[in-house]
Amino acid sequence: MGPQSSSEAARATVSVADAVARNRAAFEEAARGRERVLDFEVLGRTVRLRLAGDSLERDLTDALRHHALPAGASEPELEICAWDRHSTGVEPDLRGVPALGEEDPGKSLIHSPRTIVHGPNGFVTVQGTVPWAAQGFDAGRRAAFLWASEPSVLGAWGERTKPFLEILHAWLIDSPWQPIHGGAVGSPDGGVLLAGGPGAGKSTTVLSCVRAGWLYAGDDYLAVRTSDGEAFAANLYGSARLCVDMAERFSELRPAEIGAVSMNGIEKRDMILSEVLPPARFGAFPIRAILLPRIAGGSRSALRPASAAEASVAIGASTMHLLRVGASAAFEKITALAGTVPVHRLDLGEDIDALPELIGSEIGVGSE
Amino acid sequence: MEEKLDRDAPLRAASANVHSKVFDDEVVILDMKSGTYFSLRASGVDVWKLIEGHASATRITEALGERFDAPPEEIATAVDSLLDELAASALIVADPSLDQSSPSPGREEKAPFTAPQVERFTDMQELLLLDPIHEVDDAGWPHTPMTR
Repeated sequence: MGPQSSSEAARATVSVADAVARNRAAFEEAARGRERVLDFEVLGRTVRLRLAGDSLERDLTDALRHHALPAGASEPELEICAWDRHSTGVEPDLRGVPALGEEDPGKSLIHSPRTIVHGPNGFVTVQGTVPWAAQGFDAGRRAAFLWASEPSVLGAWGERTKPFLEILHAWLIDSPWQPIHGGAVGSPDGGVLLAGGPGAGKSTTVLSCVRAGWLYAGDDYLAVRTSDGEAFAANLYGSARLCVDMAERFSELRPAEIGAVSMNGIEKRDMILSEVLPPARFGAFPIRAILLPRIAGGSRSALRPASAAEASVAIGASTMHLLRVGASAAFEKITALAGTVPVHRLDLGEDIDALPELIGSEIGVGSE
Repeated sequence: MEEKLDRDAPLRAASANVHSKVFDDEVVILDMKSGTYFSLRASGVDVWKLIEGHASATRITEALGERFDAPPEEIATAVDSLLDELAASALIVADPSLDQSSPSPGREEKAPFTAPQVERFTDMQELLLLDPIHEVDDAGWPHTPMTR
């Protein structure tokens, strides 16, 4: 099916639940005779991924494989169907979903126009006026779909390091959990959450602590929740993103590299840490402090007090734009988290190997 | 040209796109529509709390006059300036249909007055404005929810 004109779109009517159901029917056609079923444990719940063949398996499961469960061991609380046109020949069913925006040849793939329909019970998004990817989630059925024109677009889209992020966010809206952009490291007794925009130094801090033996909850995206005056961080993905100029200082992570991306002029290396870390190193823990890193120069790193409002902005500014449904709930969860634990600026110096000791002694957290 | 706020009409957040959180000495406001975060400090925190109670500009000025030690004209000028900025940023509107709450009485000893401080963060603006969003109700596109 080709893209619609805006006048056709304006006449069309689509409910999110119907659009998701129609696309799951398209998946059934694509998967006939070649379906693969993979189960994962995400935040203590079973998520089932149904694939039409194996063409998308690597790109959609690399960052989740450390959460793999025996297939069929428990009933899923979320089921995602995924397929691509290149290997199956099956298109998504986007009838009635408006396609707006103009193609801009000067924009990169990730900035292609995207049309989003969302309602009280889910969402459908389409990437590109000539669709190259689409996804949707129906909260009533806890069912989702993801379609790509070909496997290679998933890497350019960022899905390889944070697969199904929008679907997981929508699924978790009514739960205490909130996916956020940030990093977290610590031990079962407690750790720190790192927040800030691209290039702030989150990954450098996280990976220096991982090198020192700390538990890893996340580097790019992770889940947080706040309850009874305590905040918690939990791992979603086994992926990490490191500025290319820092990659040399973490040469032991080279076997985990899967590619490079350029974001806002900053080149980063994508990594799948489960290539170099055992599953026991991925975990969840109470958050004892929020750190807001920034490259300050100088020889020594230092911590100084900051406000809950600064933490709210730092977490929210790089998280909220991705979360197009449930903005109100996400804002509540993020600000509640920021108001629960102490917040510090982390002025990063050249001494990145000293960061675990600095954070460990000042905040009282660290490796087991 | 922006229309001036009716000083005697109750105020409220402009839409469901405006989210706010009051911390001890700072208020964080997020406008999802423009992709802008705002921070209010000093007496701006008092002003925002009064807006949350649907106070009018006149009542806000009176309430700050009871709480802070400063000439009434100085407080009135600072309040008007802040409310004009919040209205121009589409964060607040006057809504005559609302009932005004009564501001809590001022402290016995007035505190020194510090004019409201406003800071805006546009970090996520470009990212947020990339994508057209169509909010739909249960009937689906093109049926949009009633404007709140």
